[in-house]
Amino acid sequence: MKINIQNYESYCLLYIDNELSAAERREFELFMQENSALVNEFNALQQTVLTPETLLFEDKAILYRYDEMEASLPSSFKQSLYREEAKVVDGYFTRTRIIGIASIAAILLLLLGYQFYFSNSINVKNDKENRQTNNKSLKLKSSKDSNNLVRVDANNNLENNTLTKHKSEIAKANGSKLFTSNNLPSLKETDIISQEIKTQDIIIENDVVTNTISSEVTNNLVSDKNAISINNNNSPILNNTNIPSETTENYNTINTDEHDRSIYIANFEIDGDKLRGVTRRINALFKRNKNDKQK
Amino acid sequence: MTVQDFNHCVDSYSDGVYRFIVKNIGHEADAQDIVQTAFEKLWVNRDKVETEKAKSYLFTVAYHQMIDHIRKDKKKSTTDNFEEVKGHIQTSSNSELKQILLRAINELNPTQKSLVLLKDYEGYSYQEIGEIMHLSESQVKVYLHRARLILKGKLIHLEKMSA
Repeated sequence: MKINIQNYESYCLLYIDNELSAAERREFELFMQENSALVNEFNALQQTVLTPETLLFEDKAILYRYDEMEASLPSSFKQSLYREEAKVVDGYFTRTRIIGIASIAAILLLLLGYQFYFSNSINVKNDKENRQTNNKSLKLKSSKDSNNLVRVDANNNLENNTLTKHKSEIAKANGSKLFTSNNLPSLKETDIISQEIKTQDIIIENDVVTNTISSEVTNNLVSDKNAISINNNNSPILNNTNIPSETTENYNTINTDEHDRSIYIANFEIDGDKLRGVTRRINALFKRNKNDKQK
Repeated sequence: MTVQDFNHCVDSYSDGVYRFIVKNIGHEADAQDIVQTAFEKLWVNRDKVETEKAKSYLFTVAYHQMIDHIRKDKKKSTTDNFEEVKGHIQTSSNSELKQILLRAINELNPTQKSLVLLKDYEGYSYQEIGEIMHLSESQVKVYLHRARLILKGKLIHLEKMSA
C-alpha cells in the first residue's frame, strides 16, 4: 500500500510504534520530506511516546531463590530417619486366656457354693431332728415330773396309739409303769432319777420311733396340741428351760429339675433357673473354645 | 528453568514489571506485592515456562494481577494515583511536557494505559502485547492508535491551556 494523504496518520502511528519494516520506514520518511506541512502533525504524535524511566525494584532479595532452598536429603538418608511402628508383643494374659481363667474361677465358685449349700442344709436338717428329739425327751421328762402331764386324746389315730404303746414299752423297760393309754400313774423319785439316767436311751429310742412312723404322724404327735397337752404350771423343768419353738418346716432334698427353686450361698439368694442358665453358657463357651482350638 | 535462570529473570525483569505496575496503579506497596506474586508463580511453574518466555510470562501474570487489583480498588481515583506516584518515581526528564503527558496518560482507561506503557516502556510488539493482554494484534493496533490520538489531543489542549 502506498502512503498518501488519507492514510499517512496510520503510518505515522506505526512509525512511532516501530511496527514498520525498514522499507516502509524509508518510504514514510520520504513521504514526510515531500509533505512538510504534515511534520507538525507527526511531531505531535511523536510527543505521546513516553521516554523510559529508571524505576528500580529495590527488594530483589525477597525474589531470589538459592540452591540451598532446593537442597534435599538423599533418599537413603531419609529412610534411615524413618521410624517403624513398634510391634505389639502379645502378653501371657491374652483375651481368650483371661476368659478361660475367669470361667474356671466362676465354676469353682459355683461348686463351692453348691457344696456349702448342701452341707449347710444337711446340718440344719440334723439340727432340726436333734431339736425334735430333744423336745420329745423333754416332754417325756416333764410327763414324769408331773402326775398328769400327758393326756392322750381318745380320738387319736392308730399311729398315735402305736407311739404311746411304744412309749409305754420304753417306760416299762425302765422299770416303771408310767405310760398307759388311758391312765398315767404318778412318778416316784426313783423313777425320775432312773428316767434322767436313761434320757439318752429314750432319745435314741425316740429317734427310732420318729423314723418308723410317718412324718405326718410325727407332726400330729409333736405339734398337735389336741394330741399332747403339756401342763406348764406343774412343770418346773419346762418353765426353767428355753425350749425352741417347734416349726413345721421340713428340709427335703433339692430337686434340681425344679425351675423356680432358690439356692442360698451364705446369705445370698440365687435364682436356680438363672444359675442353671449361667452354667450352661459357661459349658457352651468351653465347648466353643475347645472347638476353635481344634480348628 | 534452573535456579540460576530464575535469578537472572529477577535481575533482568523485576524492575520492568515493577515500573509497569506502579505506573498503572500508582501505588508502590501494591506494585511490589504484585511483582512478588508474579515471580512466585514463575517459580512454581518454572518447569513449564521456558526461559526465553519468562519475561512475557511475568508481564502477563503481573498485568492480570493488576487488573484484579484495580477491580477491587476502584475507589481510588487515577488522579490521586498519579499524585502519589509523582513524588516517588525517578524521572529522567522533569520537563513540563512530560508531566503533562503523564497526567494525560493517567486519564486513559486501564487497557489503553497498559498498551502505551507496554509499548513505550518495554518495547513490546503488537503481537507480544496481544499475548500479554489476551488481545488480538489488530485490537492492540486499534486500541493503541486510539490512545495515541487521545494523548495528542490532550497534549495540544494542555499546551494551549498552559500557554
